[in-house]
Amino acid sequence: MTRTIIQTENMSFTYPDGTSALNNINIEIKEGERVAIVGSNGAGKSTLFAHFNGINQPTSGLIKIDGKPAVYEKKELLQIRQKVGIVFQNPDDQLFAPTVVEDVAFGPMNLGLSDDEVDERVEEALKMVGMSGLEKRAPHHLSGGQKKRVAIAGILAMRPEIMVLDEPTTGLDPKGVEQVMEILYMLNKEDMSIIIASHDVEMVTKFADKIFVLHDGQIIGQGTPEEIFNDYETLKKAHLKPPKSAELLYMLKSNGVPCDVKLTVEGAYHEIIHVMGVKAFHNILHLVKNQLHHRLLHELGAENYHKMLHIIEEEQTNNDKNKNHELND
Amino acid sequence: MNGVGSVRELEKQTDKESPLHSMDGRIKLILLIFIIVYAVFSTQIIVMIILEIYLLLLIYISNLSFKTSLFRVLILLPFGGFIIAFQPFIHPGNIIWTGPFLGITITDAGLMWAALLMSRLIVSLTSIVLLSSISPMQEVVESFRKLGMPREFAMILSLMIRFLFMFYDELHRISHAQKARCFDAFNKKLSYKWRMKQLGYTVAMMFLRAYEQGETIYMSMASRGFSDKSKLYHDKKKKIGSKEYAFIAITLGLVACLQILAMFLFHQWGFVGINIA
Repeated sequence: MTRTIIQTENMSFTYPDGTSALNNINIEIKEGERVAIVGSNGAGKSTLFAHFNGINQPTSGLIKIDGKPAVYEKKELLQIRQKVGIVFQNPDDQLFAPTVVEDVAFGPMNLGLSDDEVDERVEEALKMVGMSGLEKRAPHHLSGGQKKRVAIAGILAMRPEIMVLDEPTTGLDPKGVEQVMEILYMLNKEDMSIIIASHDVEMVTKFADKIFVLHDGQIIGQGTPEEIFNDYETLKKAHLKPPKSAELLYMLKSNGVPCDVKLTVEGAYHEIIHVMGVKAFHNILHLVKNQLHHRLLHELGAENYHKMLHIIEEEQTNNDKNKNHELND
Repeated sequence: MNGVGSVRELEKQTDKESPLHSMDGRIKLILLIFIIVYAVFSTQIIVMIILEIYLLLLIYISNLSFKTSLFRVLILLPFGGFIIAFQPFIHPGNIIWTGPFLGITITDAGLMWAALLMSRLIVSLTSIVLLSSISPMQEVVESFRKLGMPREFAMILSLMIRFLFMFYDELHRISHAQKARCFDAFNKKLSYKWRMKQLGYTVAMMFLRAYEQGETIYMSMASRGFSDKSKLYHDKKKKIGSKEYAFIAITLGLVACLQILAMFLFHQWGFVGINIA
């Protein structure tokens, strides 16, 4: 059975000026999970994250890290902060040292490690994010993507069990997004739990095993990406937009076409073939200029193409099931 | 050259490759401060001339442009030059010129003293310009740290260096946003008061952003376990090698020779060798 690493019980937080930021938060995150917290601006995502490693203390309720209630004493806080690493949204908020190496070494130095151990961890962390060789570089000479990777390395060097990232892909170009996501997948493969906050629904759909919808400081929905993005009312309430493929199927559904909402492009195509037939689907492929699927449809023929979509969907379902089994074992 | 440009330009200089650029920061720092201290205590202009020649030679070895380096010395010169300009008029000595008004006089001792001060100032500024051109700012702070600067002070300096560039960028962005809406601080068609008000807003905005940035930075530091006991990292791999020992030997040898010559020979060399003290 997978252990619970972060758990909150009726956790609330009010800022000293009286602004209520979080209200009765009850969440449970298990070891090795990939979790996304989605919500509009000002929903309370960053405030919630600040609770995960003891920067903020709940005004009421409880947060348990690795099964133990958080204790806000110096020694215990250091342990929590070693266990839960936070990567801030804007890397300039995090990179404060004049060189990359000094910044990455900052966390391990605070843990009181020996100089050799610090050097080893810095080297390892920079290698993991593909930034070796840029140790002496000043942060203002790095690109946005590089800054983000150095910020991640700064946390990795502390060898946390849980990595929390606030909007990890904001402001990055597609290549930068890909590099950051690759790092996150690699870390998760090594059993690190990853928690992200994001507006990027396409990315969240692919990445997360579990999604929490935060709105006005409250959790208004939680579940798998399929469950969350099929709940149109919750998304609307949280001012969120579903992925493009799901949005298209919503539109068909709301216009009386009896279809289910799918999160992947292949899933959406499959659903359209079922509800509208091959001819209409062929016209759609022309309209959206999807050359790959158009060619596959012509080369394989309608029947075989349809079979292929079935196979893709079955494989996807099997993968999801395996993932869930692994988490529950 | 505006503020942002000059800081970036200075960074480019420190990125160059030369035997002096690659040397241990502590050695560069100690020796160039040593030259400044020696210049301040020397009382013969010839000593300053030889030290200046040595510094110019180091500038040449460092692949730095003479034009840029001397220009930077020239920019800094007025800060001390203002005090020096008064010396010929206020120092007691033999009057060599009397002004037509207010009994202004110039004395020979005052003139000599001003010449000595000016030569000291030039040597000191050349040393500073050389040090800042061959050592990145972070290396200078790291050297101070290795030489025992208190942790808190070193951290403040480290943060200052990091955020100096960030706030220059921020200022640049604000200035771009203003220019995009046709604001020009030197546009005389606009009222002076209004222009000053906009510049005031810019400064206020910078303070506000610095304050907010400070808050978030502290949060990010705390989330990585920062406390009053935290130590700062510095690279211990860099060792002092033959290059550093050669630089120490040449500089100390030169200063020792100059001191001996100052005591036994230079006083015979007329004006440049006179002991002005």
